[in-house]
Amino acid sequence: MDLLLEPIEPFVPAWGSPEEWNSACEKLESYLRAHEVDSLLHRAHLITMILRRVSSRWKNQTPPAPPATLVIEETNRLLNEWFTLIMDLPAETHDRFTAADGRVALFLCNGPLRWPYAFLEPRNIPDDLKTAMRKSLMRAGPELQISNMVPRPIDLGLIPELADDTMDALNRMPVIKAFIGWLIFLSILTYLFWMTR
Amino acid sequence: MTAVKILSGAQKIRRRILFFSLAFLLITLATWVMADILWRGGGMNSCEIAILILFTILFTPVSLGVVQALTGFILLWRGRDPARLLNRLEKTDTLPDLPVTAVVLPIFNEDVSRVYEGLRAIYRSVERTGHLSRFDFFILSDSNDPNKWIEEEMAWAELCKQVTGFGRIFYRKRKTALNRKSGNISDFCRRWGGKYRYMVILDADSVMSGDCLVKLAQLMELNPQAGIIQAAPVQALSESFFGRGMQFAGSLYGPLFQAGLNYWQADEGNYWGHNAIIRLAPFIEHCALPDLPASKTPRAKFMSHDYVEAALMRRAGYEVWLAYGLGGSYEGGPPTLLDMAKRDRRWCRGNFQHSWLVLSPHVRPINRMHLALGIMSYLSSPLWLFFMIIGTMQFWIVSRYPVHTFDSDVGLSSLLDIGGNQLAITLFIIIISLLFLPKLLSLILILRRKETSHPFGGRLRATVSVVIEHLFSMLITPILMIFHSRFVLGVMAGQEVGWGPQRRGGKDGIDWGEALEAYGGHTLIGILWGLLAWKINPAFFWWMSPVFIGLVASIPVSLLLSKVSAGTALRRMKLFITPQESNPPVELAELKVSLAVCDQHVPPLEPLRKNYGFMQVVIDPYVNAIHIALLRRHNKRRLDSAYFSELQNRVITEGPDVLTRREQMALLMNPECMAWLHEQIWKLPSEKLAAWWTMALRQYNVLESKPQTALYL
Repeated sequence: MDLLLEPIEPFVPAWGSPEEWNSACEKLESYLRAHEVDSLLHRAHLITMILRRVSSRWKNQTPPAPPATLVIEETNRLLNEWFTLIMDLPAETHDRFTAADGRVALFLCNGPLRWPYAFLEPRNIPDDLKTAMRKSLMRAGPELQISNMVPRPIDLGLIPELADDTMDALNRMPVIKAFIGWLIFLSILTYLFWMTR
Repeated sequence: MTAVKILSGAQKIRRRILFFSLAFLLITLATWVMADILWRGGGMNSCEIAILILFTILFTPVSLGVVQALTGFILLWRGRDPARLLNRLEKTDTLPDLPVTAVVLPIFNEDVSRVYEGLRAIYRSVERTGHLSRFDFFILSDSNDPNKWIEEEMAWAELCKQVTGFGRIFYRKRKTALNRKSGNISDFCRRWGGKYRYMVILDADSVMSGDCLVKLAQLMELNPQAGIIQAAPVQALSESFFGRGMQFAGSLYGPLFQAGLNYWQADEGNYWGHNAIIRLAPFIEHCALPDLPASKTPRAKFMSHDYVEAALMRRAGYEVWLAYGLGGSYEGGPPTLLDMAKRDRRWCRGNFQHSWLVLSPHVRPINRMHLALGIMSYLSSPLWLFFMIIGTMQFWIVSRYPVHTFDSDVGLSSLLDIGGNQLAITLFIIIISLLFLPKLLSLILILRRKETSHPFGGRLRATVSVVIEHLFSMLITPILMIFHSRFVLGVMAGQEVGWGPQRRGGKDGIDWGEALEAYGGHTLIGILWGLLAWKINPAFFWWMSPVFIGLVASIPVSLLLSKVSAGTALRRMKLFITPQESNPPVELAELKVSLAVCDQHVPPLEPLRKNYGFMQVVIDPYVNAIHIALLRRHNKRRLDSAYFSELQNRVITEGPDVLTRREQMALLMNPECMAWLHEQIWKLPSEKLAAWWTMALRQYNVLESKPQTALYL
């Protein structure tokens, strides 16, 4: 009987244990879900693509970290490249915040929802996604127009000035303050004594 | 534009002479009767002299309130008031074009859903007026709770996305919350004040209709001398028994008092801190708050800045108006008596700070009066308490040393042919009636027409509601008297008052433990004082019984009043119905629907809840990116890398629980740290992460794959 199925090239990691790659696969899926890649189809495609890249990159060398770490690093690298491509940024501006800026633009234009198969795809990036992301502008505040707002001195008048000085003096002399408190209390007691005779 | 005075100087003086003469008449007559009652057996002892002085002081705000209510009643009954600011708008054929106005919303650790859904309702309402391009909205955050901060940022981004508000709704988080709310507003003025002619200040729970905002800006344009126009806010959306009672009282009695207040203050009104429009140029030039004298903290500012700012605006020659009758201005209120007491504690401290300004030669007489009345609203409580303590002493003295009889036939008693006892009862009845009079007048105003009584539940239900409200306010008054007396004594003793967010809704009331802790002292005072009064003289006990009942029953009364279920039951019976409930304005209806959706949100798992904001900003790529993007705009300072490395490592290996709030805030303020933490949390194998992070990573994706914000529409 002829086989109707075309042969599919299987992905077999070139190094590491199956448990390590399972864990890498699980983490990568979580990371993509956190980026709102909700399409199972697209997520599966991205997972295979990234795992393959990591596996082949360290095929002939000792990997510096377990696959779970390397897949996240690879994804971040791809994200930076993808955002640079979409936002049309010069390569020299590429820094650790490129991904942050790209994510903001993607979030503001509802990218993952509106273009469910475009995330991290370097080829055939929809033009409207590019336009939407480039137009996404998050302004937390308008241009500053600095004004000088300085308190003017206020004349409190004689009595408050005296009270201010007295309170200042009393704050510096807590013993005197307590003594005045005792005097007031004593006066109340004396008054009560006199009233009840 | 030429400024036309609404009232001439002579008209204002005539109004004030009439108003204060009526109040003076009431005070002097009542004092005369009181003196007559006390003057028995040839004179007064020192206790009686003290009682008379205290009575006169305490009766002054009562008489001012009564005259204000009477004036308001006459104006509203006639339906014509030449000093009503809105007249100008109604009589103008061509309304002016509006300049761009800033609507600012200062917040501090508030319920984010309530703040942003309120803002959404305002934004949509302005949009419906067709004047959206004339308003910019600013959320000015001083929050120092990491969870709230992150929630605010995400809610801002989400709201802007939903209403296409980028470039119109702005968010600013201050690094240091210097000088609290007034400092936050000043910071806005220094940064962006020069861009705008007017600024409308909102409270965290304010809702203003677009129509109201547009009218306020138009009124400002029509009155170039107006520095501040205050739109009287009406309490709305309360659910508890207490909240709905306050809401009903505000809706029913408020217009009467506002009309009366406007009668005598006219263009020398007051500013209540929010729901008001302010002319920015004079505000920036003249209303920067001076430092507080004799403060333990150097450069401390006035806590209740609004009254001071109104006084400074008046000092600069600008008018301050109350736009009564404007409508479309709402606010939330404390849901329980305890929450109101907590709020009053701050207000009490703030009002007492005004005592420095009362005698300042630079403050205008009417502002001096506003400041003094604000102080008196709290000082009257310990004075009432003192008055009743002296009264108890006097009864004790009279019962032990009967030097003269209370019923001796002298003075007014002989003239009216009634004994001193009956005269005292008559005075008591008159005072109680005067206290009830404003409520009665407000009721008459709405009962006269079916269309005015219907929004309050109809004639019968409105009347029953007023009776219930009056009974409960009688029970509450002695409780508040004790609270306020404690606050005043605390202020005098130099106790500091913290700055915390207000509870503006939430669970179904307070529990027994909370009630016992808060009102145990009240109950004890009530029982002991009642027993003493009974021992002195049973007749005296009955005189004082309304006070004792309020104090002894403070725990069950406060529990009942705090219940949302009781408020809902009253609503089902159509009691305490307000026009905002019977015919809700679009803004409030929209807000209610949005909040109901927010309430359905499942809260995060208990172990993650405490640091949920921190978790989101570290794990979620979008929350992290937005936070970093907002930080990078104003984070230029050099950072101590050793300190931050240590914090980063601790948070990764031990979880965010081990960091203090200050340390969490330090990390959150640093964009480099936040980008690094995001990378590391995802990269590191679980054995190198604290168990908290492993659980957070697992739960985050199970619960929700999208960033959770305070908005769920």
